[in-house]
Amino acid sequence: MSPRIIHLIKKEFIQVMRDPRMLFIIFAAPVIQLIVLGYVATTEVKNLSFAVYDQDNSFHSRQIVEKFKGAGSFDVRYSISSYGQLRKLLDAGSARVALVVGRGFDKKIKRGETAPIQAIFDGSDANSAVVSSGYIASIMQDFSTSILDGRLAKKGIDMEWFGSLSNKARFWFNEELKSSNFMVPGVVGAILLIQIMTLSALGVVKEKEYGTLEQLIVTPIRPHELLIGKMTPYIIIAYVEVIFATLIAVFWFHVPFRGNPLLFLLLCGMFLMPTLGMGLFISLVSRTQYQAFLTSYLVSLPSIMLSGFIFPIENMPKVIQAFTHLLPLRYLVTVLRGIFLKGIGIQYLWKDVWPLLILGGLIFVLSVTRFEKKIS
Amino acid sequence: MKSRIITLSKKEFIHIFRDPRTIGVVVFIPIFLLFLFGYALTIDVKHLSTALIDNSRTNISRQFISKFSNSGYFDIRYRPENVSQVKALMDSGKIHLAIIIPEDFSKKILSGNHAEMQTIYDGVNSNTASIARSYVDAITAEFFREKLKGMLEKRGLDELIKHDILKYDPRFWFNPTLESMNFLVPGLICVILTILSALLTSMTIVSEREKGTIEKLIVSPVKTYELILGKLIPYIFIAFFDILLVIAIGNLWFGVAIKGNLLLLFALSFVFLFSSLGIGLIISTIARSGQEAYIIALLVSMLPSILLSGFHFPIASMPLVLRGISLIVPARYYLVIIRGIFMKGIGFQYLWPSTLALLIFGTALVLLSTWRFKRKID
Repeated sequence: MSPRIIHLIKKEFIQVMRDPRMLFIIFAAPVIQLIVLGYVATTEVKNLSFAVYDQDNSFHSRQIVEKFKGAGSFDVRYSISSYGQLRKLLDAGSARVALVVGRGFDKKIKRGETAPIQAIFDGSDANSAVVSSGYIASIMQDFSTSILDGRLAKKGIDMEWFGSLSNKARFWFNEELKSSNFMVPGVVGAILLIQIMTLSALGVVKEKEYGTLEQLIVTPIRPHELLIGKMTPYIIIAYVEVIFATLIAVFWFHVPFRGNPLLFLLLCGMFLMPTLGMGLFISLVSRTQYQAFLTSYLVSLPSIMLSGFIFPIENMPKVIQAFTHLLPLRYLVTVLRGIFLKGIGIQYLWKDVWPLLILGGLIFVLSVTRFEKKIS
Repeated sequence: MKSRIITLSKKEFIHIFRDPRTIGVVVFIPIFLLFLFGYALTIDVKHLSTALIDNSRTNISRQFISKFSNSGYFDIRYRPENVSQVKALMDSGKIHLAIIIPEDFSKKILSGNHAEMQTIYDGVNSNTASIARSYVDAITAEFFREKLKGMLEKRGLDELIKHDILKYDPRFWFNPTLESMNFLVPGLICVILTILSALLTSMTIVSEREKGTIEKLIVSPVKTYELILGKLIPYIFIAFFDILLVIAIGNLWFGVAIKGNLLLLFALSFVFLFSSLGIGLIISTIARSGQEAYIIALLVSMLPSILLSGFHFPIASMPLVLRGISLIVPARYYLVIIRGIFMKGIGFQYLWPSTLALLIFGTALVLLSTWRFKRKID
């Protein structure tokens, strides 16, 4: 490496380091993103505000209401006595679910007839409604079983005589089924894309705006030297962010890291090629930072949405699934989860690594040659 | 003075639309998001790739298996011989789950013993895994209930379960078919407005300051508030254009209807824009470069309005600290308003607390940023 490049890299570093506030923002941002996402991103439903309309007020109706009070997913806050009240609570959003136990509930159970029970959900949050409806159905199931148990006992029959069937479920790679284990490795990839691509694009365009890039171009520095000088700080920032994010993932969220750390760093580096390449490309087509921001936004939003980071790719329509193969982030997300959670090696990761290599290399080479052509 | 604001806004408009990229962000992104959420992004779990090991190979086990394959949730694609083959399938990501039926399965069911099956899930996507497990449990329970019914009948005890004990009747008010677009369309309006108002405005102001064009305006007789208004008015127009665009596509393409009052929706959207533009202004007074403005806007506006507003993840389920933070996220209040008007058709008597919160935030933010703006350019 020529001493010119080293001087250039040094200069770039001094420039970045001179601005401690910027540095702080650069490193605080991924930490905050990671922590918020790690805690928030779950479809589990807890503390759902719950209203009970018990028209029957009998032994069995109270028994079933008790079951809801005992379940952690519901926060039984209101006991109401009319549909009008119920409507108001749901309109105002103070209650999300209401259980309606109709008159004659107790009598019907005692007679062996089917006893209806109604749950009314605030469907304006469809996700919570579906999940909590599942919880309620399983509470109902338990209740039915205990009623049957009681009926058999009256006849002197033990339910155990009929045996049972149970499902022993095991979750590989994520034994406790924590959502943060799923989300956090993906966030590492998303942060790399959002931060590094946009920052590098904005950085280069800023110099264009200030005219400092032209000053460098008229010096004897060669285009590729200039490029290396400009990109090195971002590569280092990216690595510091990745390591930071990984440490938080492992020590704060206790996400298992089962794979090979070196392979992990190597593959993150591979992802930096298309990311910095795109950053460069954006800086080529933008005159102002505002334009650079718009362009990187137009690139990063679809990338993140379609990468499988939150929404599984296999659920997407076939056409869109095919399109996701063009997104480097898609491969990185799979690779990151594989290394973090599955601890798998290159033999399984290879099918995601080679497209990343080819795509990344292609984007990188294209932008770099265009960049060099432009400045020389 | 009025004409000065209008002139400034005109200049800004020309400025904005000279660049086709803006049209991309203003027109393409909302449409893209709508169609993406409408067609591509779903956490529904169906056709899970399943491996099956049936060590029992009896009529009963086959009956049991057919319950899985007929459910539509499970596609039995692999029939591995043993668990180590399951491991390889799971490592390579080919299956979501494996169902293992032990050799003595049928014998135990028939003899009234405790039968146990085993399921192994790829836990990487915890959401998919837990939903898959609940499907398996439901199918298993139903299968056993049928068996139990048969056994009770044999003993002449069928009057005990002649009728189902409970009939669970779930009703989903405001969205009876649980069509996800019904609640995503209003949510997307909220996200798009946040992006437009906070990100775009802060970026445009900071970008101009860096280029020095703002200084040129400052030495002119234009007053600070005129300058700010002139900058913001075009974005308010763009925001309303986007609201209309999303409503129109939502309605005409996805059939999402607005149950409430459209005028109220516009009025309260304006109140939200007020606070959301306030955030954009504050950011522009804090950030010194485009890079800074971008990251700060991402952190204080984009991230909270998507993650902490209740757009996708329910606020009630969050840890206490984040629930507390969500109280100062304007999008949270706007989401209550816009879903309320869209889906519930409720009026101002239910929406005033959220409106008041937005007004307070908006006023505080705008006052603070005007003050900071003045100090900065003086």
